[in-house]
Amino acid sequence: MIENGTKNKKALHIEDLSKNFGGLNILDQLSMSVTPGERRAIIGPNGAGKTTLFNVISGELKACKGSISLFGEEVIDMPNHQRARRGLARSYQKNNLFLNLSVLDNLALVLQRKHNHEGNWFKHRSPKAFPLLYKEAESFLESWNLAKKSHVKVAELSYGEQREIEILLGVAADPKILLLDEPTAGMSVAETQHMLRFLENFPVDMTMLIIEHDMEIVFGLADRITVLYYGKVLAEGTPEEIRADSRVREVYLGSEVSEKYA
Amino acid sequence: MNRKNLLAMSVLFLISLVLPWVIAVYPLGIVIEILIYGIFASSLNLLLGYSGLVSFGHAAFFGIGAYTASIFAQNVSANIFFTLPAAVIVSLLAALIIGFFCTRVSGFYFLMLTLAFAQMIYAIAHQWESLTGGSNGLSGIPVPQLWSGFSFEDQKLLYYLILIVFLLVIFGIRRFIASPVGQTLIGIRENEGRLKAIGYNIRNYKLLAFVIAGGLGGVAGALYSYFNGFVSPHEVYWTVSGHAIIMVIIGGAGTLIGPTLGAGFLIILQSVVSSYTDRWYSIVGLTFIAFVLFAPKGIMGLISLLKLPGKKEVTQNFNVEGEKA
Repeated sequence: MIENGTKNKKALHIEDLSKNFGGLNILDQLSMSVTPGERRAIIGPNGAGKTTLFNVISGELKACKGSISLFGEEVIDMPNHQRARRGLARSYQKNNLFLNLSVLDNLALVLQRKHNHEGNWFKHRSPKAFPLLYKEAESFLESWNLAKKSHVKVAELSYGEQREIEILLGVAADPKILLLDEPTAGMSVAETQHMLRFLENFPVDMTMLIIEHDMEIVFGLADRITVLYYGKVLAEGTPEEIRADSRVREVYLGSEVSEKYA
Repeated sequence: MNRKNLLAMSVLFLISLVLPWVIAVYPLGIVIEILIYGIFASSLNLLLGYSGLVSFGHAAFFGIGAYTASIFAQNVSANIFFTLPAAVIVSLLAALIIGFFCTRVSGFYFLMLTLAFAQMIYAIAHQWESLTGGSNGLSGIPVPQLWSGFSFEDQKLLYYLILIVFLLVIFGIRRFIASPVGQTLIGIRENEGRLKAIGYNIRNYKLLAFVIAGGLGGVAGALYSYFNGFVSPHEVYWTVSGHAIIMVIIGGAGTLIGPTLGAGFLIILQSVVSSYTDRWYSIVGLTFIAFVLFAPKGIMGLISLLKLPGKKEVTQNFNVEGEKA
């Protein structure tokens, strides 16, 4: 089948996806595809359904209708942990961490799953017993400048640091597809720059979908941009095409932004 | 573990070894009860403290363990290598069945469902007279034996048996909680949603915790039947589940020995204060309220305040630097 052939080449393929809450269509027969390794930005005004789209893709919300496939495999009926095991990871718009655990223990929960130690109930989880896991944790924390904080409770870190851990928990799983929901939300300009450098250095074969309001990040990072408007795809294309699109300007970007990036 | 802790542990261990020879029979009975309820509260702590699952039906497994050990002792053999495993296996199976249903729901519904199942077990204990003796319970349970001819007639010997089981349970829990699975249970308590998104099948972990907690609850029940020589439906009543919750919370939920301290607190209050006033239960209630309001981390929380005046609380579970050095 030809259709299946093209589906298989896609990291993510969404068809006819609908989600409504009490008669309100948040996602309205939405279709889109993302190719492997692509950086795709999802933009749109508030209430366009961006976060709902992420929640439906990750499986935290059940779609009402439609299909979602990851690398050719239909996942619409899978619970979210099974989708995660197929290489899907995400970060959240609002920090969603293990606040009372240390930075290292937060990260270890991701890494022990990745290293398939999550069923081990008899070995003390220590650097001695799981050297590879802790070595990887150490190198993550070092490259994210969090090594000094590794034993500090996440609740005691600054908002910006918590935000970094939010993203780190997503990327540390080494996912095939990473969904980032406004990674720089609430960050200062300096922190945003810092985050942008991290995002640029993510593995090139990792497919990334990113919801973002910061147009500098969107236009700096994305290969393609999808514009959502009332649960539908209003426009999709390269950054240049989106910038030039008059409908997008009208509903979202506004004249100021389009002039700045024209 | 630092040197100070090691020293304190060794001293405690020595005290516990010589204890039966320096105190009278009645206080030794209280200590035995504290150890038994310490095991029971610690098993509930796996759910309530570490996994964040508020079970209000833990008495079911205490009762199942106590009845199974007694029924086997009366009908088959009083050998503890027989009655104890039997009690554990039956409790594990019961926990597997009850847990299968209870772990499908969470929060308030989990609490109500565990309570409902426990009351069902209570009803069975009450009404299946041919097996359980009904409301009269089972009396005249044979004294447990290590082998034929060596029985635990002497309470001192029984004390050592229960002490050994207690230590095995506590160190077993310690190791289990430090393992990846145990750390995952703590993750469930902290943020179940995120853990699912990372790829954990939460329900399996909850069921595992429920089954282990049930099995250990059964151990406590079996030991209780050895000690008491008599079991009745009272051991399965919901107040027993309630007491276990109070023990865990007063002692310190999610700490290793907090539940045992809570058990000690409650049992000493019960046996000492009740000899002065009939209103000891009001004192338990007021203490519980005071702890929940002013010391939600329990006795262990108060101890850690004494130890670290003004110091910031740092979770230092495991140490990466140790590897580098």
